[in-house]
Amino acid sequence: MEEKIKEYFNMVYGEIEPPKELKEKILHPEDKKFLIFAFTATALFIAIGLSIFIEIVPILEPIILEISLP
Amino acid sequence: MKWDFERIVDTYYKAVYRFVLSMVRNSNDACDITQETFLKVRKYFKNFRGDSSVLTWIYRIAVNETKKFNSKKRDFPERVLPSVYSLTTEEYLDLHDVLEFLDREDYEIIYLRFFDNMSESEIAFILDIPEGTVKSRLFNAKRKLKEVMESGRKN
Repeated sequence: MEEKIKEYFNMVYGEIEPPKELKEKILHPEDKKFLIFAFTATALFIAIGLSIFIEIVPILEPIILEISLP
Repeated sequence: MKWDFERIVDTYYKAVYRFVLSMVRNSNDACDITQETFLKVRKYFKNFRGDSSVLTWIYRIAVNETKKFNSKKRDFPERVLPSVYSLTTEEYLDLHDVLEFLDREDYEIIYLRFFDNMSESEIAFILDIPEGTVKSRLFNAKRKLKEVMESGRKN
């Protein structure tokens, strides 16, 4: 009986291999954290840049009009 | 014996992944929990006093990490019966039916006892339950399995 249970578990789990990248993820978890940080920082930078641009456009409009008028 | 983290990972990550997979039955969840487990191992290994084996200690962390985790849907594939084993398809399915309907803790006990060859005291340490509970649950589960296997043979 016990041999059969052992064999069952060997069949179910014995040949299962974890994903190849798992070991690297365990050894270098900071890579993932760095990617998250880089993505967040870039998104924040773009958002701030856009909001400044939107704020500045109405101020620049008369200047641009003045320059472009003959 | 001196352990460094890389050697611990190298030696045990496959066993930990399989153990976690046996509990959550979802490969992505098993990966996440295995990662979290080894983050804790890295953090607390200096506190490991060697009262148990390294694997037993890591398994206990894995059990705690699994309890914290809300498991998503199961994607664990059913195994195709390979020809190298002596178990017949019928025996395999009988065992599968009984084991799948055991409650989670009983399944973990059976897994640890028969797949990882853990002793009853090691299982008690990993699951944080009394050794007597492990013995009685193991006894009941084995009896249930035996009954099903024998009734299967008669039919």
